Amino acid sequence: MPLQPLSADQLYHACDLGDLPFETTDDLEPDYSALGQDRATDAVQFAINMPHSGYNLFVSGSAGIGKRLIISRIIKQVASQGSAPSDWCYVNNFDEPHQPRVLQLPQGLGHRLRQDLFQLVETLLAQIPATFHSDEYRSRVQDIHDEFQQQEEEKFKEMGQRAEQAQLSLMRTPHGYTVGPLRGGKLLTSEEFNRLPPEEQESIKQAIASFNDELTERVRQIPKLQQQNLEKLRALELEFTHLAIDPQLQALRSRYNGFPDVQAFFDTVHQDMLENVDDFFAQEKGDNHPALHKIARSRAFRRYQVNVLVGKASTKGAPVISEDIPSYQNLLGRIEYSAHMGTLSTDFSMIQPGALHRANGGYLVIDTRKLLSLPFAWEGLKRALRNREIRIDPLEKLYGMVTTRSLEPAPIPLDVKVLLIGDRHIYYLLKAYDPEFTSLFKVYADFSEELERQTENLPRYIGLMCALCREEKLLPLSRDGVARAIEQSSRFVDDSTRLSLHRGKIVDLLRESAYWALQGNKSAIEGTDVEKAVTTARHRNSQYAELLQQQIEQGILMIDTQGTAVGQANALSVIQMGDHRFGRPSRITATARVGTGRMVDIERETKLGGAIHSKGVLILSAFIGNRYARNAPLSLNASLVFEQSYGRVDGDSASALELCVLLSAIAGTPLNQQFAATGSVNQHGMIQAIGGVNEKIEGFFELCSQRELRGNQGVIIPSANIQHLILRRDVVEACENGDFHIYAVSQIDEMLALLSTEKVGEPDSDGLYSPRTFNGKVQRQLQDWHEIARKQAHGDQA
Amino acid sequence: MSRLVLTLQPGDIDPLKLERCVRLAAELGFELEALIIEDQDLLTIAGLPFCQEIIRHSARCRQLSTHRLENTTRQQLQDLQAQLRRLTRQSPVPWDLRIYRGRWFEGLMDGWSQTDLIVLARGQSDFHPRPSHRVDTAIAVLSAPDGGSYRALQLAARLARIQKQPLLVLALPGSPYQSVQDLPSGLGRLRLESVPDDNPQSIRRWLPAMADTLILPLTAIWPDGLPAPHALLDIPGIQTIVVR
Repeated sequence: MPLQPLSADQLYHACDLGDLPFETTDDLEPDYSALGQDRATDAVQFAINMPHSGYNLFVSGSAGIGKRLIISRIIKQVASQGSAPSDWCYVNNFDEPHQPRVLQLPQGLGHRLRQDLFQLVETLLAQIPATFHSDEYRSRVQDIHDEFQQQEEEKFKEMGQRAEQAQLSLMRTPHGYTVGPLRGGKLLTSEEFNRLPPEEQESIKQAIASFNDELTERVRQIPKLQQQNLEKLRALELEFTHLAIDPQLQALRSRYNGFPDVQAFFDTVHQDMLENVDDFFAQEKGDNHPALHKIARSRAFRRYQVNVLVGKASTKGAPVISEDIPSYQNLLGRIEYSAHMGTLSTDFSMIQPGALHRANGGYLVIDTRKLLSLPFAWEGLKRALRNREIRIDPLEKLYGMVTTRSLEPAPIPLDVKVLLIGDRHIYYLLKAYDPEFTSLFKVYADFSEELERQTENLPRYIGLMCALCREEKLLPLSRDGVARAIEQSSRFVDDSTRLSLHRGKIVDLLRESAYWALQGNKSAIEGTDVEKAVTTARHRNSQYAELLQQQIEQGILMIDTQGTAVGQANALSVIQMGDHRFGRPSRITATARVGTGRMVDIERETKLGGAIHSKGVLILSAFIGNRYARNAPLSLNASLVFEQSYGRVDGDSASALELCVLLSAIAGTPLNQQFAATGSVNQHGMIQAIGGVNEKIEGFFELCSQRELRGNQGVIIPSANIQHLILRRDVVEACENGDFHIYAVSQIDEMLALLSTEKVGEPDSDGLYSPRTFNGKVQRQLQDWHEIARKQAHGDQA
Repeated sequence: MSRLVLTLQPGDIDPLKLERCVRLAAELGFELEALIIEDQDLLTIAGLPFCQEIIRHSARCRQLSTHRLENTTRQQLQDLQAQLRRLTRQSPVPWDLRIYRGRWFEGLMDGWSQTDLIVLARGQSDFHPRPSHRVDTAIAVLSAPDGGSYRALQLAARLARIQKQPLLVLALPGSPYQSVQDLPSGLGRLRLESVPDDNPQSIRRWLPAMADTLILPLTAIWPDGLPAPHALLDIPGIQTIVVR
């Protein structure tokens, strides 16, 4: 019985909304769930809830599938119930300034500590000078001076009084002291002295010598006494320094009770302030008197400041960070430098956080392709995850490019879930070639592209479209708008039994449909608007396809759509231009003659054929041998070519047609040119499914309809592709009207029955075909060639 | 022209104080006279062969001689001339150098009528340790119930502004300024201490902890207008300036 063409309902799977109760999508509840992504979302939930290390997540799926959005929703929902992250701060290490210390504080306390320390310094800038200007301090200083004065000056005065009683005068000289003789309250001149009796002179000399000895001893004591006085003054200064600083610092200590690291930091601050209390008098020097709060924040007091690396008091829940440029420094942080007079300097305050710091205690989302394309970023991330700490190592130090001393900040413990988003092939490459990847990213979330187009899924899918309309602030969809959009969704995945989960494509379709609806002043998107969106989008991208058609029309590209020809038939291929695909008919020809069994694939010989195409051609040889020459070697040389094809050819979707063309060339039997065919064939002649079936059919239909449909034209496709048919309305209408036909075949003989002008034929029990059939002619010709070849071989031997 | 007289003793030249005086004279538009007082009594006993000098810094003992004293004075004179030349290049001031042999207040009598300001560089005791550098020492000025106090106050305020020190007003009983509000405006950072009596000894005790300079109206310490020793003129650690 001759093969019948497919019916219209097989060519287009119309959407039946049945009894779903709505007029427009505004009547429905939007569905914000991750429809059809149970596998992926379960994986995400699993990874998030796994408390152990190494359960980071790799998320894959096509671009535009909506995986970022879905993951973001899941994580944010989980993170909102998570505990708030700690504040992380770097502070000066007074013992080793190049190794800043790290402080961990509850959320919000980091900034408070920073502010408190500013306030402490500002307060001390006022308080310390005031303390030393106070009457109490002055009075204590005076007491020490008085004590000293009483100890020494009074003694010198007493010595002076005794000297006066002994008729001597204690006097100052330019460089010290001297004692001179007095008589009658006046100093003796040398003449007066010489007039004195010798005993008296001697007495005066002895008295003066004795006083000189005592005076010498007194003068010797002065430095010691001054040193003692100085020490007392120092002790007094230290006491008042404590008086000024301790209460302020104690108030801080009580506020941060329960944080031993902070208390230890306060200890070092305290000690440093005691040792450098002079710094707090600095504002009294110079002509300018800047405000105290500015001085407190100046470089002079930077060592007391707190660098709050991560601290967001207002954030609730765990952090969710998406790093758009995941370079090494953006991930792990960096140390900045300031240049001054040709030298670079840095300190703890110039440490800047990376994404890992900000995400610590939460979640970090990174694009895998970007991560792998930035130098050292991947290695840096792995190191942090492996060691469970964030260590800021400048790259130049890490790789030994610079040997000058830089900062070595204390590492920060890391607790983060990393979500890498990337393509599937990157995932498998990493699995294959990076042994660390498997141990660090144990969970794989694979987002689906499609959903079963089943009745039970339709309400949720419509709910998804409702949600998208609302998110994009579009007009609602009417019932037929929904139906048409669903049908188009199946077309997106080339499968009438499935729906696309590609949010990007669905949103674009809805936006463009809404545009046309608004152009028509409608209040809802109708089916016609969706259709218009589809056709206008196709039209925008079809210039190249139309140019190809023109070339066919002009005979530049030779394609027959009527008549017959031996060793020639119309194949169908799909050309992808960006995100637009279209079918292109092309001619396949074959030649055959006696030979040694060599099958020449001209595409392969010219290196224009890909491996899959070459495989398909080799399968043809196997089929021919298996069917027609089981008991004798193949004695033919044949060649196959895609005529006027000057680009690369790959895939095996034309192998069935190639087989038909080759058999036609062998048998010398013509093939009908009003058909185009597509399908892959195996060694046993079974026709296998191919891709792009809709575009292929539409491509040949456009050619035929441009040349005027004759009613006998059509396309032969594999039966396995029936479920993929979602053809254009004009194609379906032409088929309904009998102007165009689509046939589905599952065996090569079925294809031959349509293409051949003769009966195909069945083998008898010996595997022989009737000579008047197509198969018989092929078989006969091969036998004849075998005979010729045999005779030639014998003739040569003779 | 009005004159600022800076009295110096041999071995007693503080370059900072000298610079202060030069700047003050330049500010006021006065001429500067540096008056070195050679103690006659020293010269007297220097003639005695058995008199020794005990050196302050080393406690070493050496012969006190007229020749050495005169050498010291001559050297000091040369140093002083060089310093004054250098300082007056920066702050142009007419200056003069004089040596007087005798007591310091007698040396002031020469040109007394032109002398408006006397800076006594005496009173720096070896036994008085330097006050803590952290103590914000003030310029102190005595305010007595007489007309000269206003000029002294003006000079003190000017000096405090130049040296960026606070001003301390010592209000004696009867002074027109008994509280800060009584003082003229524009005096800068200031403080007022009421002195309960005009006994100089009480001021001597606590003033060194608060100030390093004391400005005295001439009429407050020399009522008859002639220079003479006074307890407020040699407070240890205080440089005294007398204002006519």
